Amino acid sequence: MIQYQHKSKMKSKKEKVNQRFSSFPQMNLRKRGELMHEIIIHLILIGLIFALFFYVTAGRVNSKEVKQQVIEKELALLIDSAEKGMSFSVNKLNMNGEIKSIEIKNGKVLALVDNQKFSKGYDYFSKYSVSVDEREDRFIVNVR
Amino acid sequence: MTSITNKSGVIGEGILMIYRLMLVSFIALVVLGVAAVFYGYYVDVRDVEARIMAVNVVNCLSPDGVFIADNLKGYEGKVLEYCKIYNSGKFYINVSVQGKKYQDGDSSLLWIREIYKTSAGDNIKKYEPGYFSEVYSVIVNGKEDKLNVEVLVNDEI
Repeated sequence: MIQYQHKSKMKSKKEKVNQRFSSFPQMNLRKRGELMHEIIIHLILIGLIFALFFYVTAGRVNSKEVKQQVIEKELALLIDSAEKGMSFSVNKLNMNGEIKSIEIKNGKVLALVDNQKFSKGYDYFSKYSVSVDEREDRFIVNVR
Repeated sequence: MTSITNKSGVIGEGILMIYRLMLVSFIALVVLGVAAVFYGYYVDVRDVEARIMAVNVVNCLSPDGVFIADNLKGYEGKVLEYCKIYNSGKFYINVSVQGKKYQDGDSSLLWIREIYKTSAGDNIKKYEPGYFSEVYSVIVNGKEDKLNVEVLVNDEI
């Protein structure tokens, strides 16, 4: 048993020495592979961070947020100054882009322009109840 | 010995990678902040809101131009509640008739406005509260009198 262990130890030592001296080119290849692997991971992560950054800034850069702001504030002011029984319509396609949706939630007007997915909304203070009906080509805001 | 150095090497590489990612994230955040400030545009409608609110409050307090003070008993500090108008916290209303005041909202907006009136740089101008003030003629106890309305609207941020 002791002899066997000793032999195996000797063998492994030999193997190690052989490997050390015989596999220099292979080691270089492995190092290159690892380096490439690392660089690819880095590039992917950096790409992800910048993609997230572009996604967040895109709304501001192409002025969709300003269009959204204009629509929401215009509607809020119209609702505030409207009398009971009034209603007004907003075309889906207008100079501010294509309005995907108009919602009234928790005292706020929320509008989504083009492919927007999020809106903070804008407060209105009308004492009347407000609702929105969607038609084929326009939204109708009713103040009751 | 080799395995120990390998381990420390791996840990070192990991730390370096975290450092690099943090650096990239920081740069991205700085660029995002600059872009947000540079491209951001604020449409200010607070003065218009103040005007609409003033008209609504006057129509509520003096329907047909007649102001009845008795109707407002118990609502001296809750004018908007009396008018059933929802206050999201951004309005301050001050109505004065015959020396009596009826208010609602946060009166600190008045001194914020005073600060802006005395010294306001252009860079903080957008935080100035919206303001509207008007004197209306109303009939109080059968006599013509003045109703002074002052409305302040806080900024959105």
